Amino acid sequence: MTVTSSDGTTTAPDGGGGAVLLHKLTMIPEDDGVMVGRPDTASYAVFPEEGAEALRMLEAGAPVAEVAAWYERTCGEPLDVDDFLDVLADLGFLRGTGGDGEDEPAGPVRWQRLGNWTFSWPAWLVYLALMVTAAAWMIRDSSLRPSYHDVFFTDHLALIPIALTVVQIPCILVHEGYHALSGRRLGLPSTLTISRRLYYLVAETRLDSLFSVERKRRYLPFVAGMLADAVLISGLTLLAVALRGHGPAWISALMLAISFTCVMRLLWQFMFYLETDLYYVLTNALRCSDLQNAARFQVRTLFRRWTRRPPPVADPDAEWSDRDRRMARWYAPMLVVGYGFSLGSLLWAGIPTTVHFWSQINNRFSDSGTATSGILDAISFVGLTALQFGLLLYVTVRDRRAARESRGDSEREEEQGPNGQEPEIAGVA
Amino acid sequence: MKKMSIRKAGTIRLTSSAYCL
Repeated sequence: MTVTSSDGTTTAPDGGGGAVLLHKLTMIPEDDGVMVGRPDTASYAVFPEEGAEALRMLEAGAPVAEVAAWYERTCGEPLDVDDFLDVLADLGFLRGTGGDGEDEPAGPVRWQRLGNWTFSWPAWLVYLALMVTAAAWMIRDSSLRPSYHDVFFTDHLALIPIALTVVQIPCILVHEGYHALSGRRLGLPSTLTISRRLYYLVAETRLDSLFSVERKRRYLPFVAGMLADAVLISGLTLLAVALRGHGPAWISALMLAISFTCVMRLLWQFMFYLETDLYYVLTNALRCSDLQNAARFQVRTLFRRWTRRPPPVADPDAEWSDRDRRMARWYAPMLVVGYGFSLGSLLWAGIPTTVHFWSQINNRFSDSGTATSGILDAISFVGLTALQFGLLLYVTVRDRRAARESRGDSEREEEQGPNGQEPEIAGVA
Repeated sequence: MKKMSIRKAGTIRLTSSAYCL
């Protein structure tokens, strides 16, 4: 039989015993097997120890027949070689037999030097000095402590949402940039896109390539974004101090307003049930690999049982580890409470606020006596709200489509054998 | 013939909320 690997090259793993060529793979021991994958394509799977050993033999050039014979001697029963090679092709691990099958020489990833510098000891000293100095100023001067009052940095209320939207974008890019640089420091690629968590629009750094390093080296990339937030808060607070008495008063106040938005985003990370950065810190410490989806599946199963419907069908390729399932029993109730809290606060505060705003806006447009500044204020609010809802709708439709294509692929594979095509995911690179 | 039990890995997606309901 012939299978097609994800880069479109074709191999003929007929189980007839010839050698197969593999891409460069990383192997990291986990609790229940070995995490094997390609950092360049972010394709990873957990193999049993004997599966990883079979891959090592294939990498060393052993013919398939020899590996199959070794497997049978070791495990006491013959391996379904065709199925094994199908899985490797599906994961994109097989190299083509054509001339284009050679691995690109793996040069260093871009920005690796900057990544090293960002987390070097002189940089850590600078971060520490900034945070300690800012904390000392906050203790001495209560007006520097983060407060919602900071948002109102000017009397021109219409400017506030526009200004805070514009200045937040570089702050978010710094946060995500620190995640990316901490990965680059380890020689790992990443991609930046926009995504959604419940009803929150988020910037997202995809760092699946962290599966190529051992667990204890993943913590710094997980917390790098929050470190960036803390450094920004400290730096902006000290800048506000330095600018006091120089130039217009609103510039110093604007620094504290930007700092406050960073504080809010830092607090948002504590909503771990939305798969925030802290969720990854916690699940890494618990040695889980996909706790969120294991818990969501349990909640869905329970909900369907209560409503007397058939249980949901799990993705056969994404079965969870025993540890994920065990931990999910504890985590699932927290997930339900967390989602309840977020949706409750949306219903209690978010939606009424939005409705009130829209009725005010409507009054302004329909009232002939509204001043021009009031109209501009209303237009800016409409524009920003439309932009957010538009982006939220876009990422929802995009992710649904990707999930549907991915499901369609696996169903077609069940019928016809694998085609290994990954769904195209539009992203903002 | 034994099919090897292979489990696809999860994902690692680090986020920042985006002017925060």
